[in-house]
Amino acid sequence: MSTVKKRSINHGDVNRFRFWFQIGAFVILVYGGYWALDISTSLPTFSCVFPSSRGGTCYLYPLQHQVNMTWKQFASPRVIGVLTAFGTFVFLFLLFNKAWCGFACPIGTVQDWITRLRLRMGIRPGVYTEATFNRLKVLKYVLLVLLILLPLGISNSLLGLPKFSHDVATSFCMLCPGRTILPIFTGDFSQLTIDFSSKTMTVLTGLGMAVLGTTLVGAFYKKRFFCLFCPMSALHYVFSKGALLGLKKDGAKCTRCGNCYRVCDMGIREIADDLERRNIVQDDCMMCFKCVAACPEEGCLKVTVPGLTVYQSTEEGFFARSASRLNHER
Amino acid sequence: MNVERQERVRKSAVKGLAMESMEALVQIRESFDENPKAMDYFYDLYHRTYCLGEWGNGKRPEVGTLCVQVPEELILAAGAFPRRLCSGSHAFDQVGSEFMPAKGCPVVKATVGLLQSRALPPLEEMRLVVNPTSCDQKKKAGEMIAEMGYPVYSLEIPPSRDTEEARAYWHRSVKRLSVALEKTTGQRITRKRLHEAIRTTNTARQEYRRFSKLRKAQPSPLLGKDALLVTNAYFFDDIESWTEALARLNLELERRVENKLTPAQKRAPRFLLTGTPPVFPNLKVPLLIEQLGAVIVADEVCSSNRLLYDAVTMDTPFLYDMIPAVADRYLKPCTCPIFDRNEDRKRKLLDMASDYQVDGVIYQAYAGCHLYEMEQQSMGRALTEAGVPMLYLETDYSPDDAGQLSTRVEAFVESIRNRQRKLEGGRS
Amino acid sequence: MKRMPNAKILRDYIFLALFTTCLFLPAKGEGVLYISETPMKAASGRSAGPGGHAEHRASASRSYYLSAEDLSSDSEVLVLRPDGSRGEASMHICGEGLMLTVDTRPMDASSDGIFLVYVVDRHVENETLLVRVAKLNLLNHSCRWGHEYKFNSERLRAKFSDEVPLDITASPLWDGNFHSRTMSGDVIGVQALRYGKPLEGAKISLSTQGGWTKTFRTDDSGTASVQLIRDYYPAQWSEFSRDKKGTFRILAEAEFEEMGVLGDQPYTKVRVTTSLPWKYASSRREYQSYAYGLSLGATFMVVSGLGVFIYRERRKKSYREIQFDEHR
Repeated sequence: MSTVKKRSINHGDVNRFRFWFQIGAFVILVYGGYWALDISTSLPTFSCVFPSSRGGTCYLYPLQHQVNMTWKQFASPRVIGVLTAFGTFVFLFLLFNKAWCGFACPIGTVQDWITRLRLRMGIRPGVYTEATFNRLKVLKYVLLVLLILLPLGISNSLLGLPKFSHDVATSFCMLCPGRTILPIFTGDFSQLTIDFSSKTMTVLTGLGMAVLGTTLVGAFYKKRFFCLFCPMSALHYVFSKGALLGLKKDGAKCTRCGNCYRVCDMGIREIADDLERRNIVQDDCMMCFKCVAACPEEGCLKVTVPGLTVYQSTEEGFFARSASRLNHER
Repeated sequence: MNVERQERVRKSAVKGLAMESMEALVQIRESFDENPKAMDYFYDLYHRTYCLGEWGNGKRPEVGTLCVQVPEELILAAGAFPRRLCSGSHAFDQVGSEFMPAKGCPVVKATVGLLQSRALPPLEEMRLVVNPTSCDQKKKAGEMIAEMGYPVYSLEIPPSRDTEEARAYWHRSVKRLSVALEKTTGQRITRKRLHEAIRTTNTARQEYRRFSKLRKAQPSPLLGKDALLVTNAYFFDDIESWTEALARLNLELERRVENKLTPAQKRAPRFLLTGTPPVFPNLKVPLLIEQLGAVIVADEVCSSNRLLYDAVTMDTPFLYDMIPAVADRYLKPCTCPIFDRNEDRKRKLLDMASDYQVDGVIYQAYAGCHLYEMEQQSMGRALTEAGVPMLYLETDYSPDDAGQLSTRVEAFVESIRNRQRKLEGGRS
Repeated sequence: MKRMPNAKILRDYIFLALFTTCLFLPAKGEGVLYISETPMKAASGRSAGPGGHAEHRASASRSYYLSAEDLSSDSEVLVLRPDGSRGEASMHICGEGLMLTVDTRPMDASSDGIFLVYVVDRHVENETLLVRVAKLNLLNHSCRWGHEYKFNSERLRAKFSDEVPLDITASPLWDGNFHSRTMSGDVIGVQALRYGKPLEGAKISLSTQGGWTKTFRTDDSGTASVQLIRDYYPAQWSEFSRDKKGTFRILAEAEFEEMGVLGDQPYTKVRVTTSLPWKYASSRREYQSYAYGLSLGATFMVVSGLGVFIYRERRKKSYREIQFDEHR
């Protein structure tokens, strides 16, 4: 890449790029079906299965379906389907790493829009204390384990428990705000109901509406409120180390000024204070690269694909962004 | 103290300051060749203020600061002019000695002396003196300064900067300062004003970073004594005119770098200066080093690099974000030894040593500054391990130790030169 | 174009069928001919149950049962695949009656969609040509193929054949994913077509499994519409199952003054009946509530909003001292 091109990229405002990219991704994932798009049914992002016009499907939905098998079936050829879907998921994830969250996830995008609304209204955001943050971030792993155990418990008796009702087959989807929010964008409001057809469904859809209400308010005050609980994010992190797209930190260049930490929507402190690790992607990271844009140290933070630095922090870029921003506000 | 005596002390201090300033300026200007033309702005500035006593700064109310950790953006946004009062004057040091223990830090003594003598016109109009609770001597000096009749605001600084608790404490402290500043000047810190203030200081810092980068060149286009004079002027100059003057200097330095021009010898040993802050007119150690043929290419002191290196980044242009952003800038990257753990200073020194390709580090500590004296050993060890020799100098504001310092620096410079020769010999 | 697939085999089967069953049959051609997913005989004995075919998975063939076994030797089977090409089917007698097996291979996305299956039976009685048509919409779909025709109105349309004496279409019966979607309360539009042309004045009746029947006539465009009733009332709400499906049948009848000969039997009148079965589920309105859903969502919004607000107000007060519990 020529140095001129490189400079112009490093001077770029990643936030604006991301804003427009997210809109594009949202249109593709939520309305892509109108153009007969069906990218994959194992997408590593919340491209919800409920809007009929979706352009691809969130992997958690087939995952819950597929693990709903008896132990015997796990030893049968049926497992090939499970493995294929899983392999597709891992492959797609490894291409873009957690940038799926920051750049593609429709629920992340909706939350970012809500944040923009808050900014317009001039209301300050909520910030978790470190202790709260650390307590809450464990929840997504709990959700991930439940998401697999519940469907397993439909086909099998777990620990001598009676088999679960079929209504918990896609229990996480019932709780996920993707199910309630995204169909609205296609004019389908039918997910905003309580389903009284069985006790389980009543509870699940009730919880779903509670989660929706809390998420809407939560996302208004806290940036990316739901993401801290997202089991997809937990599942991502298992494979994040091997991904092609990387976020690298050079600890020797870090002054620990904390700029990156303060602009981080997720509130990840390691980005500023961890000087040892080179691969700085954390489980809550959504790879929005705001930290890279906020870092004034030459090459301290880098977005990489193997053999190439795509975007990196530069002193010049930092001041260029800062100036254009300050001018814009004038 | 009666009025008569006070007046006598004031007059003699003013005279003493003018004399030592004149002497320092003459040394800075005349004992070296090829001073950059753009330095004239700074030479004149010092001459006008320190020698002729022209301290005017327009009509803005004055807010004095006693440490690098006072967020100046807030002072600017509140419509006041931030004036750093830390003094490097031996004359004031002597005035201050009356109040301070004999083995006290000369920076604190001189500052207390300056305020006691009310030698400078702006002191009469100080609306607020912000005194951060950084080191013990400064903290306690605040009480004395208040007794002198100044409106002192004690800005609480946490003793650590690694924990989130400390950060939260500091944010709260800075928020309280904002309110106090608003009360003092009667002007509200609005989004727009704070934004404008951040813009002003960030532009200055951007220019400073450009300046530092130019000093990385081999051979160095500028001597350290001029660099320290430039950064020192930030204490009392109008920020915008300072930035413009530095931009002009940078242009000249760029031409010098292109043509490989240097005011020093071509193969002068390159030094990094760290430790207690050299403040005009006390540029004793830097002048000595450069008079002996070495060149200071970088510094890690709170009157220069630590004052200007870091910039403010905010996420959103709202007060709830900008005030913490400003606060963070003064706490998180600060490598002052007052904090309980200071690994970052070690890392910074090592990084700068390799970045600026220095041959050695000069660590100056003023007698009485316990914290810098204490940190000297661990920094020295780390540097030596990395193959960078360090010279530790204990000094103060009096000219008495010049001979002894000269001998030690000379020996150090010579040893570096020997090392260079050996390396080159080994290479050929 | 091959007119009758497997015509010979089919005829053999039918002969066999006639031969073995004619003894038990009271009169030839009585009643209506229709196709069902579950055996007819079971309906009288044990309950048919939900049963039915899987809609989300493909199979190489699908089997159905015919309501009568007294088909004449002239009866035809016509299968039209979603892309318009001819498909194949076979009939044979089994323990549960006359079974119709439709070949749905190859099991790939090329035949994703609705197969039209017709059984047309003709015979003459009292100088009247009685034509019995049993129509079936066969959902041949696997979710594994994806839902690529979701927005393809041509694939999704309810189709008819212009080779059939009296055809009926009904919609909407399925959604864009080719899954059945009819629910009680739905208004179903029906069109009657004679050899592909809209037929006015045809008598249409819709009857549900429970016995409710509604009869009406088509207008000048051959269409009519009817709202499906709700007829699923479990005694206890806990017995309610949203998956329970009922069946209904649309029947079209028409008579024409027409002279002709079938085989060696002349006729002066033609009477055609066409049946189309489908299934329907309980309306979502019966068990889903927007009122509860939205109020629960709103409650949580208000509660969490208030929570944040109160928390923020409390934070405005100055720092509160830590207090220790004396009883710990």
